[in-house]
Amino acid sequence: MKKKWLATVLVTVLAASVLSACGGSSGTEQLNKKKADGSGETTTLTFWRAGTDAQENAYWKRVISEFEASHPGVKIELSEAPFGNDMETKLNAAYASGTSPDVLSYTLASVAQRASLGQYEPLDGYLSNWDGRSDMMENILDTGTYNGSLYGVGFIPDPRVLLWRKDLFKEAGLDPEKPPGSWEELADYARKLTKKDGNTTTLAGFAIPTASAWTLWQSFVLQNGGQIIDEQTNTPLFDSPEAIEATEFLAELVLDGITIPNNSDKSNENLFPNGKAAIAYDSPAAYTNLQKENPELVGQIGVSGPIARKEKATFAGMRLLFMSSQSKNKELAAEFIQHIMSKEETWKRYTELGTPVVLKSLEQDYIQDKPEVNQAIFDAVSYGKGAAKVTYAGKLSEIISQNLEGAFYGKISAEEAMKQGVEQLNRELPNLIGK
Amino acid sequence: MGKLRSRSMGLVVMSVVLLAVSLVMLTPFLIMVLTSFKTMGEIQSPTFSLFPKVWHFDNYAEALSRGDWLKYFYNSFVVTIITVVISLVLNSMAGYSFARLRFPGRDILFFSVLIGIMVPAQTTMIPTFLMMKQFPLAGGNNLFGQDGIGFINSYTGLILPFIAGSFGIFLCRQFFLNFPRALDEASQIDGASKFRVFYQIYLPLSKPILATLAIFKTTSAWNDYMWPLIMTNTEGMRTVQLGLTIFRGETNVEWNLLMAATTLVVLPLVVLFLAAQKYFVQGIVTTGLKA
Repeated sequence: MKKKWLATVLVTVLAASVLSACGGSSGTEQLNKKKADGSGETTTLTFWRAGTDAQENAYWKRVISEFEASHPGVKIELSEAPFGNDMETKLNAAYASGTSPDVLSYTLASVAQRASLGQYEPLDGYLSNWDGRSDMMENILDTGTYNGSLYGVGFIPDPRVLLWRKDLFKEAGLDPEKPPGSWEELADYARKLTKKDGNTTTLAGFAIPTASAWTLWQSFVLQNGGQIIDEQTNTPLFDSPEAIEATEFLAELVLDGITIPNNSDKSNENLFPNGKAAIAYDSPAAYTNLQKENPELVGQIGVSGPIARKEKATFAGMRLLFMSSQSKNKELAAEFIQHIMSKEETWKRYTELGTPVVLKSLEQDYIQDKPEVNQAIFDAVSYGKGAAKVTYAGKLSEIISQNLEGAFYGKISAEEAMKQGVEQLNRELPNLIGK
Repeated sequence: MGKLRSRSMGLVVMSVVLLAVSLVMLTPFLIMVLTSFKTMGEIQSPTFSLFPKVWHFDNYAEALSRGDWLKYFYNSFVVTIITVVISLVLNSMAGYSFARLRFPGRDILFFSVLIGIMVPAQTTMIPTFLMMKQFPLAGGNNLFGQDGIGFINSYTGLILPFIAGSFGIFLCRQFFLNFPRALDEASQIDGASKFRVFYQIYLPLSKPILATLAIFKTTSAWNDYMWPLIMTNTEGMRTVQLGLTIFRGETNVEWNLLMAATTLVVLPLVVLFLAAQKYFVQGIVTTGLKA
């Protein structure tokens, strides 16, 4: 009997000792402060970013090492997770356990949702004495504002600009220096540029996502003078004649086969940077990536502002810096945000990552650096509009995309798609707002 | 004679079918390996070609230079080996107990183990995370699990939730049920304790099931992505699956490098499977897992 107990105890002790031995040094780290040496303390600031690419990782490591060098006793821990559900899950677990990061680089779509849950700290108090605030473009500040408070500082804008392939324009007998100037011209060019093998489109005249198409669709609705939603009253507005006309325009092109089926949420399906489209509304990164992978296309890609119809408008994604309301180092977190937003750092970000600038004082330098590209990008940043700042932004885009898909595949008319979408959203709004 | 001929015809047909199925199974792996030698321009080309025009072996060097892969592999090996070893000990003991021992509440306990198979892992992820964070006296926590980070960002946090498991216990129990009752009775007559019977009689006969479970556990620990993603926060704690995200940008994926790194990440599993294949097949057959 004794032996049996001894064996049990031994196995338990063995398992426990193996587990505790492999705890690793970081397992014993304190949440905020730990002894650096006998004389003082090191303050650890946690910084998470959405995105895992090596280029931006190198950028952040440089920023962090410089900040640490200028702030003795401060250590910044960087953590990364891919965009989308991965980061959402990681954040949800962190907020639930009280281990959320002090500073977070994340998306515009999160502003309303996480600010309304009290997870983001209002920044007005911490940035009131910061000189750089008055240098920021007004619409960028507005992007991070929710219910009258500044929750996020926009620092990586991602506006959609009109990109076109000059080599393919020449091939199709079009003037390579003249992008389409109207919707009608766009449709005409797209039809001329499309290449098909039987009924299968091999080159899209104009890149239209057939799934998750809401960002491109939003650009067209806004250009046509339409609106998506009244953020104050939660009234859906995308069944207006302007929105229906924009939907009809896109659906007609898709039904004509001027695009290749693709999902805008899946970066590997993106047509323009993969060389499968002649014209696109895409991010400046698509312009850079296409040339990087295909050096023969350098100088063969045109960039301009989106086509103006009734309004000058485009979709613009935005990455913002947020401070967690759970942070125990809020002053230091604010200092780190200010460092990232400084004029010097904003310019370095542009030179290292190609990120458009968001400071008024850098406008001229930015445009003069590459006038043929940067003027259009800067304009698009200044009037671009991102996802609606509502707590149900994800559901809104899901409903719109689902109904657009119906119209794109000819299952329902554009008008039915929009009206059906508004009805669906109105049905779900009581639950969505209640959350 | 005719019977013999029809039997050999049957064998030929079966071989052809199995060959075709094998090809279907192997094609994704083949495409992965071949893509790892291509350029991005070739991958993005509108015309698909299976083989690369020029074999870019340097993709592997480029992929490995993008992160601290030595550290990622080390982390994955540590987590996988410890998880598998401890879980084999615990699961085989639990499986043996449920199959061969009689004790009060055995069936209720086994039923609660089965519930563990039925509940999707996603639903228990955040509660488990909270338990790891609030583990008493770990990672700066006090006795009540407060003030510290518990097992977050540690090997323990990556291992502890997976060392036991309903599936492993179920698998072992099914295996141990196959032994004749006479084996226990003979051991009892010889005066062996229950632990000794398990250790000296049942365990040496359990190679197939231990190999099978080891493969299942290794595969799940090695391939786990979501748990290390939420549990680790620093680059030094990344596992190989998290390392693969380096090649995914917001707007593009570097497929050639991703496939090169993935090929290397898959290799240890392939080697393990080939080494334990004989026992694995035996284990599947004897536990009735085969459809």
